[in-house]
This record gives sequence, C-alpha cells and structure tokens, in this order.
Amino acid sequence: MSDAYLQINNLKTHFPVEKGILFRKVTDTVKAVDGVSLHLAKGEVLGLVGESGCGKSTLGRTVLQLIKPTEGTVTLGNQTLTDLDSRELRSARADFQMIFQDPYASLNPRMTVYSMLAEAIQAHRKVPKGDLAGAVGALMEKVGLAARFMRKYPHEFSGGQRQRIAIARALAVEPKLIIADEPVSALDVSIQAQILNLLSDLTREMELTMIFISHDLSVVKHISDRIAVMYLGRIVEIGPATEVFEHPQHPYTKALCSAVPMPDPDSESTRKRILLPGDPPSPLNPPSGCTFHPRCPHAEERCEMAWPSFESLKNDTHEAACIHLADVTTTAPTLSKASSESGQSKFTPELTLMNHRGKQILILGILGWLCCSYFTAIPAWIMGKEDLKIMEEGRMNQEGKDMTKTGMILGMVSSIVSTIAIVFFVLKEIL
Amino acid sequence: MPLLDVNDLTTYFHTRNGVVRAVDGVSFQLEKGETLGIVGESGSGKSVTCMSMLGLIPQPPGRIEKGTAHFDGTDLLHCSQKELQTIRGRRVAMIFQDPMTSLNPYLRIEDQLIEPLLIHDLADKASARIQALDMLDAVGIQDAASRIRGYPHEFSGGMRQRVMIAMALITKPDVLIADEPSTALDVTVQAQILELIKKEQQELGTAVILITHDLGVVSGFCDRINVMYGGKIVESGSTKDIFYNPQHPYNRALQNSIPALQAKGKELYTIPGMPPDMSKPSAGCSFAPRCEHATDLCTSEPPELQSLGQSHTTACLRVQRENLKP
Repeated sequence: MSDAYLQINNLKTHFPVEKGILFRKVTDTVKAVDGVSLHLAKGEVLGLVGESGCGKSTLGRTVLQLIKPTEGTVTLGNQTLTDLDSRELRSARADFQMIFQDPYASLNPRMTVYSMLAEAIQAHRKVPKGDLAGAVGALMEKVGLAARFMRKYPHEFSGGQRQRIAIARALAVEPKLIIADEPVSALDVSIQAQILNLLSDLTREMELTMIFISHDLSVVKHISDRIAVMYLGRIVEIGPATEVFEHPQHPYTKALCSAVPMPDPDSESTRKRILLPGDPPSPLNPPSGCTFHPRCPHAEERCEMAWPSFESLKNDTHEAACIHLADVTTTAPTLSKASSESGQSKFTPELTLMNHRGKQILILGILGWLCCSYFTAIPAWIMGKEDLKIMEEGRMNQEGKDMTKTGMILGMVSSIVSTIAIVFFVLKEIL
Repeated sequence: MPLLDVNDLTTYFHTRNGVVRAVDGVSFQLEKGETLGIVGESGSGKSVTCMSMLGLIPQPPGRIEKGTAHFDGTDLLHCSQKELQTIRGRRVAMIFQDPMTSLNPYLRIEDQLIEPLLIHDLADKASARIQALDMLDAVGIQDAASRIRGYPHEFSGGMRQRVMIAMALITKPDVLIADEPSTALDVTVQAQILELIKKEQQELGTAVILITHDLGVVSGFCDRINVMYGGKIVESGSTKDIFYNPQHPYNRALQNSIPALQAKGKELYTIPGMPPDMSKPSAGCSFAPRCEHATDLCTSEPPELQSLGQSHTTACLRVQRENLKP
C-alpha cells in the first residue's frame, strides 16, 4: 500500500535489562515490540487489541517517537519520523497526538482547563492572546463541554468530563493522527458510550487517522474500521473489524473472541469457550518459533521452529500469522491437548527492574547511614574520652560515667555493623 | 428459609462534606447454592453492601444506620465481634478485586493459605498444609508442591487470583462473596477464573454473590441479578428477566449502551448526564434526572421495589402504575 498515510515498517522496540551496580551489563532484552508493520490510510481507524504486556502501548508510544525504536521506520505523510532530530520532532508533533488511559492521572491538578488547553494551542499555533479564550471555548464546545467551565480545575469534573478535556487537549493542535491508549477503560459503561460516540464523531468530522488501543474487543469492534491483534510484541492477525470479530482465523484471536463475555444469557449458556491454558508468557524469555505455541490448542512440532509468515485469507485485507490456518478453520478446537508447559511465566520485566532499583536505594540508604554514624560516633568517642578523663579526676558522679561509656560503645558498634553491612552488599552485588 | 436474608440494609458515610448515602435500604435473599449477581456502576453501592454484611466498613466514617442481615439465624449486623469472627472467613468468605494488593507480600503463599484453617481451629498445622496443597492443585496451579513455598511476587495476576480463590474456599464456606474477581485480569484469564469459581461452586455447593459492573460476566454466570443504582436496588429478577424483559429504564439504558450488542457504525445509545452525587439525596427516584421517561411524579415520590410477577421486581413508578413499555 503506497498510498498509506501512516506507514510502520518492521518496527522493533527492545528494552535492555541491566544488572550489577559497579559494572552494569546488559543481561537480557525485553522485546516489547518485535517487527510490526502496519499501513493506515487517511481517516482510517485501526483498533489494536491484545492482553496486558503484549506491547500495544509500547507500539503506540514508539509510533509517536515517545520511545525511540530499536529498528524500523515510521512514516507519516511524507515525513519519516524516525529520522527527525528532537527539534524537528517537536514541530512535527503538531501532526500527531496521544490520548491517555487515566483521565485522573493525565491532567495536571494545579492547572485550570483554560491554562491546559491554551498551553497546548500556543505550543504549536500562533493565536493572538486576545483570541485565546475564544479558541479554548470553541475547543471545549467541540468535545461537548460548556465553555463557562473554562476556569475550573480537573478535580471539579467527573471521569467522563476529564476524558473530554484530555481529548480537547489532544485536538488543540489540530493533529492528523491520534493514538488513543485505552481511552475508555477507566470509565463506567454509560459514560464509556458517550466518549466512544464523541471519538467516532470527531474522527469523521476532522478526518482523523486513529490508532485505538484497547483490551476490550467489543469496544474496538464498534469504533474501528480494521482490527489488529497483538500477541507478545507481534501482530498475529489483521483485517476488517467485523471480519476479524465474526470470523477469527488465528487460534489466539479465536480464544480471545470466545472469552469476551456477552450480555446475553441464552447464547452465553450454550457458547463453547476456548479456554487457553496458563498465562501469557514473559516477553523476557519468549517461547521459540510461534510465541503462542505453548498455549495453542493446535500446536505441533513445526510451530516451535520458526515464526510463521502472514497468510492472506479470502481477500487481501484479512491476514493472519499461523502455519496451519487451513486446518484450524476446519477442525473444532479441542481442549484436551492443553499444553503442560504453560506455567512458565516467572518474573515480569517490570518486577526485575523494580527489584534492581530497590537494591540501589537500599545501598544508598546504607551508605547514608554509614556516613551519619561515623560523623556522630567519632566525635562522640573523642568527647567521651575527654569526659572520662575528667571523671577519673573525680569531678563527676559514677552514674554519668556508665552512661558515657555505654554511649561510646553503642556508637562504635553501630558504625562497625554498618561497615560490615555495606561491605557485604557491595561484595554480593559484584560477585 | 433463605441462607442469607438482608433486610433494609442502610449504610451511610459521615464525611466532612456531608452524609454520603452509599447503601440506602437494600433487601435481598440468597438461597443455598445459588449464584446472585449484583451489577451497577462505580459508586452505586454494590461493594459497600457486601462489606457492611461482613463488618468490613471502616467505622467511622461509615455507619450502618439500620437493617438486618440474617445468616443462618445470626444477625451479622448486630452480633458481637467475636460471633462475627467465627462466621467471617469460615462460613462467609470474600474474594477481593485486586489480586496484586490483597496478598501479603512478606508471607509465603503456604502461610497465607493455611491461616484461615488455623484461625478457625479447623485443622492442625500439618493437616492444614496438606489441605492447602490440595486446594492449590484444585484451583489449577501447576507444580503446586513447589509453588506453595513461593512468595506472591513470583505469581502472575491470574495465578494470584487463583490463590485468593483457594484461600477463600479452603474453609468450605457456605457463601462466597466475589467482589469484581476478574476485573483486573485479561479476558482470557478472566474466562479461566470464572470457570474455576463455577467449578468449585458446583463441587462444594457454595452460594456465590458476584459483584461486577460487567453485564457480560453476570449473564453467563448468575441465576439471579440485582441491578443497583444510587445505593438502591432498582431491578431484581432472574437472569432471563433482567436481560430479555428489562423493566426499569436504567436497566434498559445500561444494556443499550453496551457496544457489543449494537450494529457497527450506528451511534451508541448513551445515558445523558452523570451518576448521582450520593451526598445530595433526591426526594424521588435517583435516576429521574437522567431518565427519558421521567415525570414530575418521579422527582417527588420515592419508588419502592414492587413485584411484577414471580421473582421479578422493579422500583419504577411509571412501570408500576402506567405499565410503561419501551
């Protein structure tokens, strides 16, 4: 597709995992996004679904250059975003914006709606100061908020209204591409519908190209033209929204579709669920070949050998990456072949990083303690010696003598203990 | 006689900004072995209802104003702490929403699993260990014998929720209260967890109260459903009644605003306005300001739950008096 507005070619985002304090070395890489290619036409809405940790958000952020990709290119219109330096990127950012998941965290609680939106407008457009209030008001009305709320703070709004403010802020620079990262997940069902309607109206009116990231298949189906399903950093299936939802081809998409609970008791009681064994594997140590094979009901030996290439189905628009799509479509999935190697997820990468950071803080803390204890213990020792000398001369009572001695001993013990502790931790880290 | 009989339960929170009427006169019954769903948006009082029954409401600011909750002859709301402690965790157990924060990170899984057995004197340490291992096996944790010595951080979200379920069911309770047990989990894992609760329920004959905001989850899981709005039950009935014969305008609107049911490309049905402010009581129906069928009567007279035949009840004046149909 050469007429695509947004082109993502073989995009990879890898995060190094480092160990050690004095000699940091990269011990592993987390392949959060591992070779994703996507093409979006102008005005198209692509839904991106997948479980938590599959790399959907990282993909979104990498496309916007909030995270630098390890490999691959992103082209928006005729600009290759991956080649821009930071200054060029700053001016290019007027064309692409992001809406975040949590409207409680993404708005600055100390800024009024006016100052938030005015800042966004002024960052990229030159609007005279006198017209700013009018521009902000127009923007607020566009997202369904009354302009008279301009001087209010975020805490005076409900969750749905806050998400409207976040949407207004993203639209302030009149972008052409929006990446919405789970924009309705934090909202109640009745409010969710309002925001979804607003987003689909806006994309139509402003001809926005949008990548809509969500874990909720039914929401994605409603708003998207096409759906891409991600699993462990790669896209496993992509196609028109209704096509993917009603005729899923990849075994993972099938399981995902069958797991979505439907608000319909009759169909729910007869529906056969495909229960996947185990949890999604850790991206730190992904399975060989097709990364889905340990949980796949159709897995066989050749699945472990190599990552399957995309295969087109029926028409060119619907593609899936599975080596035996033909067999999968004909045979009903069985649960009996539930693989036994599913309990393999051990530590999540965030956890490892967090532990590491924890250790650093611990060591800093011990160092601080050590310094403090030396700074206090040594003067105390010297002063104590002075005092004892005076006492021996008989100028102070016996009780004071005991206390001085205890103080001196305690000070020395604490500094010795901290020395041992720090030596122990440093040795343990280095070895 | 029902296993659990909640009558006119009213819990208010006395905060600096006024009295928040979190639960305002809720009554329902739970039979042995039955599955009851409580659905509603955040802030509708579903969790507070169940927390009140187990004495888990922080007091102050919370206060149970009135009502009774009879469980097998004991009024849970008015019995002594000592009595409550013999019931809570042993005969009525609870699974909390967030498996990431409800396990103690300092203790081994084993120690947390056997704690209910030891506290309630149901087993000595050695046999409790064996039961814990069996339970962990039963909830589908592979290699349970070695995993039981692990700490919570070594488990994934789905596995931690399995541990929570094992912990709740190890005393073989009569009632299991599951407060959004699958909300924090991925869809594929959610399906596993719901299937597991259902399986354990059938084996042990436990009655389950499932609290959720997801209508999809209750439709396949529950026998009966209570729909809550603004601290009150607005409609109650069998799962089929609630879904195929919805009466209360809120229940209808809620179902219409779910994306999955509607044709793609069409505007989603939306409920105008926002959920009510529970610290400002309304004289009439709390849904009236957002209801498209509301009349003057709705804003002045509070509706009561009234039967529409068999077990189906609703609290809407217009449905009751004028036979309002969609």
